[in-house]
Amino acid sequence: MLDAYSGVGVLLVALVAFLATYFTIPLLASWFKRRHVLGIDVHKLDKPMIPEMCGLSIIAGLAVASALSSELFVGKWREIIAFLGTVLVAGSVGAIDDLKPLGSKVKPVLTGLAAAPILLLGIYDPHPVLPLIGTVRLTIIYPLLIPFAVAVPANAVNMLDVFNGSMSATLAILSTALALVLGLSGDPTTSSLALALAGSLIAFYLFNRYPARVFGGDTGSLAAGAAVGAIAIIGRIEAITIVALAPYIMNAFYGLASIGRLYERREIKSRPIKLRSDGTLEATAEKNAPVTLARLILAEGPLSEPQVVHVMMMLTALSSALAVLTYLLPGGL
Amino acid sequence: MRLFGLAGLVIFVCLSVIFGTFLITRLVMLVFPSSTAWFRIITDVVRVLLAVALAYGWLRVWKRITDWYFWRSVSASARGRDGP
Repeated sequence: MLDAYSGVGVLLVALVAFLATYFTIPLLASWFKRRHVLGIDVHKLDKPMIPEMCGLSIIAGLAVASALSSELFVGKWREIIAFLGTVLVAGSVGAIDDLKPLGSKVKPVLTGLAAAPILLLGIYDPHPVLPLIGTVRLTIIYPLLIPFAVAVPANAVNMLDVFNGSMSATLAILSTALALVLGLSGDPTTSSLALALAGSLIAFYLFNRYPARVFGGDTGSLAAGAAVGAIAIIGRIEAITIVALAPYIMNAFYGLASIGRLYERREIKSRPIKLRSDGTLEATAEKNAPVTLARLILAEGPLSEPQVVHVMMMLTALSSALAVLTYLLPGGL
Repeated sequence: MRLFGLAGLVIFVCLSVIFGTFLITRLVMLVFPSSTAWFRIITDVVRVLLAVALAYGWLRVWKRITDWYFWRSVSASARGRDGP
């Protein structure tokens, strides 16, 4: 459990991340609007054009928060540099993808490279803690799995960034739960980074929620997803993070299992959902379309876009609660 | 009601992660109790192979459950719309 000084420090870092993101978004939005870096909001009848790549504000928030965290929690600069390096590399891959779309196989490989700062600085412990078991030894395999530990959440988060506020709202819930677990385990540095991610995402959600005024693009979703992977490794909460990521993993797996290979949204000919004339969303009955989480939610009937996001938030809240319970299991941490 | 079905899927996924890792670790510990260098390498490799095998089986079950849930829900929804 954190002491009072560390607890206040963690909250301060999160507040700074929130403010940095909140005040960066309008600047980025107007800048990208002037340069016509725009994306179509496909789930609206009038198909408005929205400024893209504003996920850079999340990276800005995390950068400022990391600087403050290194000042408050002295002696942890290597962990913080590894975290920020991972976020920056994944964000750069996202920015490239936003400007010049990458292939469905190239993007996961490049996001795996975002794990390089963690590997180079040696910020990992090859003895992960598993629930009901305790510490296990994976000295040889663990470093080989680290690129996957970054690439999988990064791309899974990217795949759920399909509706206004879906990525920011769900990931804010998830990262708050991770911050809570890390706080309970007495790790103020990683807890501050997790809560900083939540702070940045809450600020971003205020602009990205329905009807969206900004889009994060792959820049934001890959950076935020890679941040979750980095937090899991640095904070030694790998299994707990996997439990919390259940809705993301479900969404990614359903898509991959339906299509049978890695794919990009733009490659899919049979759409999983369609927009109805009344503005609500409906699951299609096409056999070849991927069974995504959104399609599962809409299987029982049409819903509005905010209602779908609301269900996604409820499911993430459930998986995050289960993650906290997993920590409390014998051998949790 | 749709939330209950989806929540059930989330709980299934979470529990299978927890108990799946438990099963793998316990199984591997039974197979290779030695702690010499070679056994450490073999243990790590076998652990990963078992993990992959178990994960594959788990994902197959997971996919079947999901497909069943999705197409049952779509059919029920379509019947509801076509009904009187």
